[in-house]
Amino acid sequence: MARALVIGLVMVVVALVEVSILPVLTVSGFTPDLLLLLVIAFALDDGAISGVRVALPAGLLTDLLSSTAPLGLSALVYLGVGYGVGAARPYLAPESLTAPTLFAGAGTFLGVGGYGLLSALLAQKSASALLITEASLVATVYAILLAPGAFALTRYVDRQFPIEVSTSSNVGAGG
Amino acid sequence: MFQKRRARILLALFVVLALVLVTLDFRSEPTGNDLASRLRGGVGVVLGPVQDGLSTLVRPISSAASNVGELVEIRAENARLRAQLAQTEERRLSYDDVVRENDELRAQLGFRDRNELDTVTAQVIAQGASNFEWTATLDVGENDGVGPDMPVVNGEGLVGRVIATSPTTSSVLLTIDPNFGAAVRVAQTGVIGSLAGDGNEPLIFEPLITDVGIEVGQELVTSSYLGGTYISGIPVGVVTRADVEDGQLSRTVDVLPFVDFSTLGLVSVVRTDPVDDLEPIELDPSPEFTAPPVDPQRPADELPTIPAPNGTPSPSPTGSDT
Repeated sequence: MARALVIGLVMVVVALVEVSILPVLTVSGFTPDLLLLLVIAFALDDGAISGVRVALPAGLLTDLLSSTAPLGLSALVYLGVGYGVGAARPYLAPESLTAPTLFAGAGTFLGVGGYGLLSALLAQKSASALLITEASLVATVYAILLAPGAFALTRYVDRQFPIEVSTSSNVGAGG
Repeated sequence: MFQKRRARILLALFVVLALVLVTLDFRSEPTGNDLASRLRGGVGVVLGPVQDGLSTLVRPISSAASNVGELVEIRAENARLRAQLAQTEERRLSYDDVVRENDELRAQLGFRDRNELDTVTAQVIAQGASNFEWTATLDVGENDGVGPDMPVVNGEGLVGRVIATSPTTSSVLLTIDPNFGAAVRVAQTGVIGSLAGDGNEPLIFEPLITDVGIEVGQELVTSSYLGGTYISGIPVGVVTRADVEDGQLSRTVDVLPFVDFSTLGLVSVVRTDPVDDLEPIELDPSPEFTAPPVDPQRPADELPTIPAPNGTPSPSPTGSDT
């Protein structure tokens, strides 16, 4: 319970930083997708279940802070990225930083690009292919730069508020 | 194995939930009272003060960084402005007469004076949560008389229009958003057309008539028709590319906005009255036919006839009388 509350609080703080502070530091008008990076960091740290559990509220929070996107669209994309990255976690070297960082970049590229495509298809937004590619690339660079910080944050949360291991399940089930 | 299966079940459940939310949002009318609008309004009420506080903290840092960046440009701009000032001084003598004439003409035409608009000043406290959404959150809302579709301006020109409100905050769709659209005209020539955003790229102006002369450097201002969303004459931007391509059905012109969206701070919301929907024209379901007067001297075989449904001509309604 305490872990869920702390993760919720972290998400709200990260979302506020994303919409209130980061617009000052834009590159070509694009900002880092911090909530997506947080989902990826939890998925890489704890596995697919944790990734999925964090992805839904993080995506819904993004949708609620958005004014034009349909409610649930970011959640849909974040769920896909959270599950995909979490499922790939067993194949990564446990002590490596390079592979998770590259995964964070790839996950962000797919997430931002996927969101751009879905919003163009579903929400009838007139975002061009060039715009989607630009946004995905810039967000990917941001994600690679910010990934070590995100990993440090999720590891800190994991150490302070470890996943409660139930008798019927193993480590990696929490979130 | 158990973990993988559990993760898949959880994923499937959450995906279904997200799809249900997307569907509900699509099916609901954007009246401001639907589920998504109410949830977003609630988030705005709760997080608005925090965003305001964060924005206040960051603003000085942002201003300082911006000032350092602009220091180099200031010297050249200073020289240019001095030259402009000299020109302006020459024109000032005839200004008073032009203003008086303008006031008289506007009064005759029933135009609202854009210098006396009812505005409310607002601070930008947050920007869009997505890289595909160019919106800004303002620290004024319904309690300040702000409502949907109200134009937002600053000292440089048109910033956007209000698309959603909560009691204490409001969301503005910026002119650079791909979903933004407005009627504009070229200030120098009066050529009208539509304007749309294109993300971080220049705005796109599509003139109504393609083969008109539009030149680089001409300025665009908003155009209004029947009291539309935007007050007429709000500066929008300057033409940066106006190539003409043969064989094109439509023509696009690049426009650089006057407003610097990377340093948006104080803006003004123009509190316009909502535009009333045009009343539909009611047609009489069974109009009475009144025959035109017929010249009594005219022979009966020259009178016009009305074709009957079976194809045989029926006599004119007044034919029997003649």
